[in-house]
Amino acid sequence: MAEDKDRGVKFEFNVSSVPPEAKAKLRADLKKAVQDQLAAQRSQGNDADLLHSSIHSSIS
Amino acid sequence: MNDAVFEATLERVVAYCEETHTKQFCFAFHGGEPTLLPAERADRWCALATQRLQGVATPQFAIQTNAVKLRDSWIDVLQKWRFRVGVSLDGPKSINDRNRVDHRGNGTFDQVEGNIKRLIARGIPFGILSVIPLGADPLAVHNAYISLGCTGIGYILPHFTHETIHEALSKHGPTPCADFLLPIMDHWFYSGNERVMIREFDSLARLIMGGRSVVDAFGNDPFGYLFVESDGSFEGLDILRIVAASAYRTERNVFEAELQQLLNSEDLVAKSLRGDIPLPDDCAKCPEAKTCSGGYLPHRYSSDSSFNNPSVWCRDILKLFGHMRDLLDVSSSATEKLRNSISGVPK
Repeated sequence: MAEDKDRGVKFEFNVSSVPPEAKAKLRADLKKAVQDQLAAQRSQGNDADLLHSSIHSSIS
Repeated sequence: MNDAVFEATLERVVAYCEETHTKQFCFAFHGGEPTLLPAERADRWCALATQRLQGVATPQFAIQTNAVKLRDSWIDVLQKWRFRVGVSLDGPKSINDRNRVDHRGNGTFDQVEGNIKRLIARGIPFGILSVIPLGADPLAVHNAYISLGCTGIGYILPHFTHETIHEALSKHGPTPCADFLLPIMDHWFYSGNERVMIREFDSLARLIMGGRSVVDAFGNDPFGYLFVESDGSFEGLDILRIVAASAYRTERNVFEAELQQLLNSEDLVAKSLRGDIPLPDDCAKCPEAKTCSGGYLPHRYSSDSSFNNPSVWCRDILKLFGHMRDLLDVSSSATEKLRNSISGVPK
């Protein structure tokens, strides 16, 4: 659990309380999301999003 | 930047897109602070770029701003041209206001927060770009960013070389970036459908699943961007100035050189644009050699062996890959198979 002292917002989070089956679903969902993203990018034949992110990575 | 420099830049861009059959080109406004540019001029440039690239490529516009002074006229431009907006923050108010102050020495967080609300009210999505505040409470920082309503977050590994890293490590321990990011990674993973895009985690997952990174911190892909300074000079990655002032400069400018000429030269900028920076020798036997690929170029520098070193954040990066592999349950050998199966990922 962490507390944002600037806002007084309580942020609760406990990894060990997540059931294994829920974790497995999250894992499968994330894998699918990444695979879909890679497939969509491949089908579009461009890397505009890559460019954009790279540009921002150099700016602070 | 004046009109003449922008128009010359645009001509170079059009020629480059025509020659290379590039179908999308991103113009990113940054500085300094790009919103100091008159909004009317930015509007005119966006219109001109759209007009000149018609039938050649689709222009995209992006901006990285501190969002301290965001005039209505600029918000109009951001909305009209569908800018991708990045806001620079250093943390929640207590951290940000230590580093980011206005000319009177007052913290800027409240002004930024107010302007973010104006973006949201206009339906303009924005991401937050933050250098990792070493030693800070990670979930407090992360929660503050989420609370601001951003659609994505970039957590930048702080910029050090092997010449300058020692004080940070002695103060914050051997893996301060991983210590900060791992609790956030857990939060991100377990958020499921509520997940906000975090570039670094997205890239780790993409690399592990056989794809390419969207950030320069991992992957050692060619840098996909070039900077044009206000006087028209071409420059490479500005962070290379932590190595040497001359490391990111070229001797060329938009009035004299085509973009392709830059790519064909042998200086560091051209090599980074072509992806001609080899893997550091010490990374050859690393299980993440093909995913991490040595880390971010400026972070590899030492005066003795130039860029032939693993990143100063090598241990942190390995922890991040290890944790993401655990979350995804994908081994290094599985990544290799996935990578081989994805033959069409664009270069």
